[in-house]
Amino acid sequence: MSDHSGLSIENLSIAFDGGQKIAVNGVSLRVAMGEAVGLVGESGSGKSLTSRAALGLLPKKSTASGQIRVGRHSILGMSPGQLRAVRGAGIAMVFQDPMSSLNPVARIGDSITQVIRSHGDVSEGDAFARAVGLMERVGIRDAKARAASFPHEFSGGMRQRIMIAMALAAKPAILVADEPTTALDVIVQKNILTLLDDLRREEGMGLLLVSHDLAVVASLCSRIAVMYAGQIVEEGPTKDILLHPRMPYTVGLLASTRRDKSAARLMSIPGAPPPLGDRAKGCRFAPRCPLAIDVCRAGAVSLAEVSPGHTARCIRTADVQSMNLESFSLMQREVAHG
Amino acid sequence: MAEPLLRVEGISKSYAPRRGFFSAPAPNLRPALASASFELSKGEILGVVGESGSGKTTLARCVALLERADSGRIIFKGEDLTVLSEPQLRKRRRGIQTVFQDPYASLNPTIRIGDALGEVMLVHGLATRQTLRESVGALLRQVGLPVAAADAYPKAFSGGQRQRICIARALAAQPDILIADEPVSSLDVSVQAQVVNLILDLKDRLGLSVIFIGHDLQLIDFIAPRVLVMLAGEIVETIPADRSIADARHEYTRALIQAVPKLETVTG
Amino acid sequence: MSDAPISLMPVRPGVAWLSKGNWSLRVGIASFVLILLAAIFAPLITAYDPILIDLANALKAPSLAHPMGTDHLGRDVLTRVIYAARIDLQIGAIGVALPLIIGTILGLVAGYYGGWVDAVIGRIVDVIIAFPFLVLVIAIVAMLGPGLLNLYIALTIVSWVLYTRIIRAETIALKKREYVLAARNLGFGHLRIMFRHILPNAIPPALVFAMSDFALDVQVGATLSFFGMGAQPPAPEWGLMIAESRSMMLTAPWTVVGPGLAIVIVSLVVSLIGDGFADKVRRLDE
Repeated sequence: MSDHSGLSIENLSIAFDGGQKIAVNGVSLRVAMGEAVGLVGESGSGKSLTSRAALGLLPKKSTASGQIRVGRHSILGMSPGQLRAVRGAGIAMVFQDPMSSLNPVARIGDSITQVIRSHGDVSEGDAFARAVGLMERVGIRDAKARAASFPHEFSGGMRQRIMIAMALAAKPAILVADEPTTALDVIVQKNILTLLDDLRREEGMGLLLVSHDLAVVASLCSRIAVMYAGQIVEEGPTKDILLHPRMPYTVGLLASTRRDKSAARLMSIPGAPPPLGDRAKGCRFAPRCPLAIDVCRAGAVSLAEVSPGHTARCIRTADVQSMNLESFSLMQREVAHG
Repeated sequence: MAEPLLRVEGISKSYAPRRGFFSAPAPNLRPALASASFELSKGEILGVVGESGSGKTTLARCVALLERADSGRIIFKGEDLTVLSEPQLRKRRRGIQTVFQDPYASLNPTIRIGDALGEVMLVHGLATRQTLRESVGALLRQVGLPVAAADAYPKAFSGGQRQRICIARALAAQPDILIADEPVSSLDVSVQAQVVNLILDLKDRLGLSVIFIGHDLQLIDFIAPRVLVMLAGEIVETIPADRSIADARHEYTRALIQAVPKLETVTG
Repeated sequence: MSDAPISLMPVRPGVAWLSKGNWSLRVGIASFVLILLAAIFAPLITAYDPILIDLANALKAPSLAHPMGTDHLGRDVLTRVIYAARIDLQIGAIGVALPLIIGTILGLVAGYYGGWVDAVIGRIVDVIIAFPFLVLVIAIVAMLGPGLLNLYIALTIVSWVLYTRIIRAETIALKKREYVLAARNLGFGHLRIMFRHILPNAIPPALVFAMSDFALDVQVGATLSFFGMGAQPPAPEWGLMIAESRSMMLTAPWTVVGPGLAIVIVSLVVSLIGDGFADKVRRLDE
C-alpha cells in the first residue's frame, strides 16, 4: 500500500460537550485502493461518526483530533471549500436513506448532471450524457428515459442505485457506504451489495462499508474492524474474524447471527452498550463479558496483535481462542441467569 | 377437529388509489392482499415472510382489525369479527394485540411508560388503582426491564428497550394472540436476538399464540415451525412444521433464502 | 428470561443540550410575568387613580411626580398605562383562549373522523378564511355594537379557523402513527384516543401560533378601541388612550408615547415566548 493513496484514519477521537463525552476514541483504520473494509458495530458504537468524519462531516458542537488522510489531503481542519474539492474525486459517501439525500422536486438526470458539473468544467450536454452513462453503470435500465423521472417514482433499491451513481460522478478514490442496504429488502440488498462489489473491482476504488450486520460486511469485505463503545476492539482479515475471533464482543456478535434450529433460543449478548460519558475505565465490554476478570476492569486495554494483521483489544485472547462459539454462548446464558 | 383459536378465511384488501379531481378513474389495481387464508392454534407461533409490498403488514392490520378487509372472514374464538360494528369490536380488540416495526413511533412521547401500561389495564378492568403500580411493575419485569422504567418517558429508552415496552403494553391487555409485525427489523443484530428470545419465552410462559412477521426467512424459520411466504399480496407457499425451508418449492422462497448473506459462505 | 435486566440508557447524546440556552423563552416569560404582576398589583405600584379627573393638573409634562406626565383630564399617564394592561392582556388572553379551545376541538374532530365531518368543518373554515381578518372583525363588531364583549365574540368567530387548520393537519399525520394505531388496537375509545393520545402531540404548533395571535389580538383590540368600537371611556385602554390624546400629539407627545410603547413591548415579549417555544418544540422533534 502506498502512503499516498486510499484512506487512512490515525488515532481519530471525536468528543462532545467540550471534550466531556468522547464518542470516538483513538480509532485508526486504513482502506487501500481497490480494497473493501468493513466497519461493524451497534448503534452508538461510533461507526457512523467515524465514517462521516472521513468526509469531513462532523456534527455541530463536536471536536475531533487525530488525522484523516484521503490520498495526499489531510481532511481534519480543512475549509469547507477545500473539503468540497476532496469530496468529489477523493472520497464520496452513500447513506442509508436515499430519499432524504435526493432533491424531491428535481429530475434524477438533472440532479446527477449537477453533481458532475460541480466537480469539473463540463458542458451541460456532456454532463447529461455522462449522467445517463452512470445510471446505466449502476444498473438502471432504460436510463435515458428514466433520467426524466423524479425520486418518488423509483423504488428504494433504485433510489440507492441513483445515490451510488451520484457518488461515482467524480470518480472517487474511496467510497464510504453507511448502512447502504439496511432499509432494503433482502433480494434488493443482495443486488446492491453485488453492485458495490463490482464497482470496487472494476473501478479500483477503496470501499469502506459500515453496517451493524456482520454478515453483510463479511460478504463483501476482505478486512473487518469491529467497533464497540467508541473504540475498535478487533480488526483483521475477514476469515480470521469469523473463524478465530479473539475478542469476546466479536464472538457475541457472531453468535447472535446464528440460526441454529436445534437450539431453543437465539444466542445473544446480554445487556446493552454503555452510554456516552458512562464508560468503564478498563475494558469497556467487561460489564457484559463472561470472561471478565479484575485485571480487565483495572485499566485501559490496548489493541494488540494476535496474529499477522489481526489485532484484538482483550487481555484474555488466549482463552477466547480456546473456546468454540457454543460453549462461549452457553457461558453467557449462565451469566445472564446470574 | 376442534375449532382453532383464529381462522382467517379468504381476506382481501385493496386500497382505493388517490385520485385527483381531473384525472380519470384509475383502473383496478393489484390488491394489497388477495384472498389470504390460514389458521392459528393456541400456543402456536406462525411465521409470515415477505418483502416490502408483499402484503404482510396489510395482513397484520386486517387481522388486528385496524383496517377492515374488503371481503373474507376473521373467526376468533368462534366469532366472526368482520361483521361486528366498531363499538362491538372495541371490547374484543384486546384479544389480538400488535407490536409494530418502528419502536420510535410506537410509544407516545408524552406519556410515561407506567401510565401507558396502566391505562390499558384500567380501561379493560384488569387492574384496580390500588394494585396498578404492582401490576405495571410485574409487566416490566416480565419483559426484562427494571421497575423504575415506569417513571420515565419513552425518550429515555433505546430501540430494543422500546420494543420490550411495546411488548409489555400488548401483554397488559392479556391477549390471546400477539401479532409481531417486523418487531426486530429496525434493531441491531445483537439486540434482535434479545427481543426474539423474549417473545419465545413469553409464548412458552403465557401460552400466547404469535404471528411473527418479517423479511428474514432464516430468522422466521428459526422462530416459527410453520411459515407462510407472501409475494405481491398472495400467500404463495406454506412451509409446514415438518419441512425445512431448504426444501421450499416456490422459486421466490428459494430466491429469498439465497439472498440473505450468510457467514458460512464466507468461511466455507 | 434469557437476558439480564438492562439499565436505563439515554440513547441520544444530544438530548442533554435541550434544556440549556433557550434565551428568548426565558427572557420572554420573565418579562411577561413582570407585566402581568404590574397589572394585577397596579394599586400598589401607583398612588394615582386611573379614572378620577383632576383638571388642575391637566397636560403636565413628565416630572418626578408624573414620570409619563398627565393627560388632558389631569390623569397620570403611567397609572393609566399600567391599569390598561388589565384590559389589554385580557383582550389577548380571551381572544386567544376561546378560539384555541373551539378551534382545537373542531380540528381534532375533523382530522380524526375525516369524511363528511371533515368536509363540513373544512368548508366553514374556507369561507371564514376567505375574508380579510380585520375587515371581518370590524364588520361583526359594527353589527353587534361596540364594547369588549362583542369584540371577544368577533375575535372568536374569526380566528378559531386557524387553530382548526393547524390541529387538523397534525391530527391527520398523527393518526397514522403506530402509537395511535396501538391505542385503537388496545380497544380505547375515540375520545380517549383523541384527547389523550393525539392532542398532546398535536397542540405544540397551535400554541406557538397562539403567541403571535395574542400579540395580534392586543393590537386589534387597541385598534378597535381607537375607533371607538372596543373599550369605552373612561376605561384605561392603550388604543383608547391614544385616540383620546391624538389631538394633543404634537403639543403633549407624552400622552401617546406611553400607551404606544406598551403595545410594542407586549407584542415583542409575546413574540419572544413564541420564538423560544417554537425553538424548543423543533429541538424536541429531532
